[in-house]
Amino acid sequence: MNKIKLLQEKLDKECPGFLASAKDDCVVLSGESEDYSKIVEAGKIAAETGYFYGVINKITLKGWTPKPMKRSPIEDKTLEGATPDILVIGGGIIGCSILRELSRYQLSCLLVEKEEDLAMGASSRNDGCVHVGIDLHKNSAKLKYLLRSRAIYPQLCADLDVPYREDGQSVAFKSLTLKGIAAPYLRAKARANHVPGGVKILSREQMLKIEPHLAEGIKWCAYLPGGACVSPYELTIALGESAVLNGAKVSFNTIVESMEVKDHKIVSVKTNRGTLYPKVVINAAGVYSDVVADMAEDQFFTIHPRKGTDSIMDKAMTSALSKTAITVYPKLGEEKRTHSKGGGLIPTIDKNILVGPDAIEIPDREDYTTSKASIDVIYGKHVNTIAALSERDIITYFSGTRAATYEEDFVVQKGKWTKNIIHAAGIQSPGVTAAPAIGQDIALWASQMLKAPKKEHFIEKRKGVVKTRFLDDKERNALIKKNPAYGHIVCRCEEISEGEIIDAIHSIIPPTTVDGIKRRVRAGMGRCQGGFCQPSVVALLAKEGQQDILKIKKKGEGNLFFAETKECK
Amino acid sequence: MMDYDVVVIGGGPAGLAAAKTASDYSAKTLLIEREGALGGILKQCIHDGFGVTRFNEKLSGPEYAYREIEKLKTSKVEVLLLSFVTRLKKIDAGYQITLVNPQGVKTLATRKLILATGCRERTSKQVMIQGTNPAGVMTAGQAQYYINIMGKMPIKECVILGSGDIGLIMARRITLEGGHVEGVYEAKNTPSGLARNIAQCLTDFNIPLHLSETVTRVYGVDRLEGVEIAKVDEHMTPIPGTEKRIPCDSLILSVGLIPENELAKSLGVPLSGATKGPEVDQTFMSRVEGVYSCGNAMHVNDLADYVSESGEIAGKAAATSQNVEHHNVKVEVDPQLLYVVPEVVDFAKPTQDMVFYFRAKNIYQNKVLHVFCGDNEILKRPYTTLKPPEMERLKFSLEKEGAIRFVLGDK
Repeated sequence: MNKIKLLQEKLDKECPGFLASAKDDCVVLSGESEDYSKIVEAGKIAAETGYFYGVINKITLKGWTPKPMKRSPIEDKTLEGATPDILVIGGGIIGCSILRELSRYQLSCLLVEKEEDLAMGASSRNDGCVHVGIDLHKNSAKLKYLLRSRAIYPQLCADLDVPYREDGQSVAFKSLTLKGIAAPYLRAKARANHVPGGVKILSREQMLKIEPHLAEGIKWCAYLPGGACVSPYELTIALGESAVLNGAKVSFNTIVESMEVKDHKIVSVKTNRGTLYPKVVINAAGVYSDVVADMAEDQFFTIHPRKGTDSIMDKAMTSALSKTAITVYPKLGEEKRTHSKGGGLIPTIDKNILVGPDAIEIPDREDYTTSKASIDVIYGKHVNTIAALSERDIITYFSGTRAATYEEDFVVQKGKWTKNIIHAAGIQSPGVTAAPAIGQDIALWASQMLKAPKKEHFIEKRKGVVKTRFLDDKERNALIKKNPAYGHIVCRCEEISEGEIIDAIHSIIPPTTVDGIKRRVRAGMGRCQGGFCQPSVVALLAKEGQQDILKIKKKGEGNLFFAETKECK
Repeated sequence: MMDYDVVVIGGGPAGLAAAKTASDYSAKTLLIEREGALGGILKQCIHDGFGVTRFNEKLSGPEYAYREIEKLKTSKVEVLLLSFVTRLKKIDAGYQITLVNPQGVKTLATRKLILATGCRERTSKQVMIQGTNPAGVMTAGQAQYYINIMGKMPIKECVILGSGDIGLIMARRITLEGGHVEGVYEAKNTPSGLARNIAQCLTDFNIPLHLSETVTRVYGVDRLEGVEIAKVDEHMTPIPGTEKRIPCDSLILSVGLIPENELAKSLGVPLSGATKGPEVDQTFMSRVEGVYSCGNAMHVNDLADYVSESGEIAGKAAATSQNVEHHNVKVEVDPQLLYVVPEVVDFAKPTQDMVFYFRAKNIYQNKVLHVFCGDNEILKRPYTTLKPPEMERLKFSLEKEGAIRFVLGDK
């Protein structure tokens, strides 16, 4: 095939040592390399030719064995023989959004998640930005789903009792000379992309009115008033709960191990908890979505994980400092070819500032370790955005991996070769923003495949755990009179009451771990990082969740205790 | 309408002493504590060594707290337990306090406010430890709570980072409880804890202390599996190539305490960069009229006895002092000293028997501390050794107003 030959020539010239071959209209790259960056580069070169439907990069890294997927040790038969209409693989924001939309139809739906809770991958490892899409390609799936989702977002969050706030976002520039080119370009791009809220080009003086702590040296800003934020894990859990409320089922610690495919159709799906026989499979497996696609004999894309690290600043010190998410445009010449946004200072929905993220290509899909080098990079890059931001105000930091494809666009479509699979893969930024509309499309396609009508009654509203700290004194008092547990503050940094923790433990998708409580009610997310409240959370998990206290886990299999002390034995 | 003359926030040793003393000086006093029992962190400090100066005997933390609570019971102090202050607001002639407790939301007004809110522990991320985020990484105070209050062992094989007193105490406690302490690592080139704790908690139990070494990284996804140790240079920066990995299931951090002053900040109380507590005068009043500070919220102490003393000073002043036209003179501090508390002397207030606390910046031998007021030398005290971990205390009176200087000279 001519295209393959052309690509091979290009590879031999720019990134030699690899072999390109055809699989229908896709390309398969093979070979071995000692340098991981070469493997990624080969994939990029193949994708950028635009010749192929997709890039399947099978080049291996010499001397490296992939870390086995993190998995629960559970082996049982609880799902053996189950025949759900729809099996959703992956409990991130995409899987949960799909599950909720599916639960509008007369379908039996099961979501399997390999971890013990929802939102354990990228959905709890991002900044919660709800983007406006000014940086996106006009014809991308990213922009299409972003724009449709932006129209849904405010009402969806209201229905799910999840906070949503439009703080605006801005790109700050240090160079005035750049303004002559960049400002008209950004205006045109905003118009072409139908950016919600548009773009405003602001002088330093104008920007100071929005952001009084803007650092010296910033000459002008492109302000995007439509930029918003949400808690990505809170929204994921809310979507999941709403789906369960409408009849969907969720199975945790459930790992898809293989699939039986016959005549381009998935017949069965083997998991560590039994073999299932779903009619339709939905692939929302995040950084493992190409692995799942491969099991389904439908791999036409490749995930190359891109790690990012964010640091979280103390709320008390920083809430006053930043009113809007802000990114400083790199100095000319510093800009590298990158597919991830520049990161910046991002006030979260809970009014902490996140600093970051960076973007590093890594071979391990679940490498969530942090490094001092990353902290220094993100901090060095963004510290000069806002005056008076100090590294001493960092309370913690975390890493996540983006599920990037070589095409750098979402894969939201029905199977290419296999008939009963639908992919929601390659979802990286702006995945949180795009999740609602992706959920709608995929649920619609699945319902059409199975000719399933909508349910007569769908419960739109889901009530979250009350946040007593935001109630006015009168409401708070009335609530405490009804249940005194709401008057006992357990997490002092975030002002979370015992009542809220108990509500979370008894919620519709009950958390079983200390981190599960943290993601639901914020206990332990403050400046002491759980130093004071963790013992109380552990005691409540044991009592209210009827667990043996010695078996309480922080997360996964991570027990907190080994034994009783001598006195207590 | 004022509900109270004095409200004390925090029921640890500082708050207990402050409330008792304010009440002794006829102030209508309320003590607010967020936990279900008084005593603060003393409740979990079951080791001895408390009360040597205050009671002339060695007590455990709970015993010390018990004595203070019993004293409080003889007074008219009202106590609110399980009560969490959510908001402070300046009102005419005092402060409005909003709190929540299992009875509801309560708002009350007081003439004077004493903040005895203690301190919190610095965490692993605040000392830039990288890697994963597993179970088994905990502060010394948290480990102490699990073992001493809950009776649960969170440790089998551990590394302790930081030679602060709580870390040393926990090294012994973990050993007695059947756990194994691989070693205590300290990034500084000198120990951070009291000498008596090094001897009694490490030497007596054959636990090695490694100076100029720190933990840089943790391993293990769900539960800790090991830590990376590296030697550090004189700037406490890890030296590349010196890393070694030590297998363990727990990492205990004793890497410093931070005075808790979120409530103080909400009232605009200026904090000292050196102590991280409010800047205070000799009555331990902050720079905001009618707001006092004491105990570990004011500066981190190493002995509970001095915490109680500072509470008494603040309690007495809050109960008795009238609003006056201030006459503040800032204390000039020798650069060899880390800090001196109080930071200012208000000559409009009594200057008899003032108590000063200070710490040296480094270890010094054979020094003399001179306190000058104007041209007069008020006090001259020799010290064979001065070290940062050991807080020093002075008491003196000033007859006449003048510039106050703490000067550290050679013997």
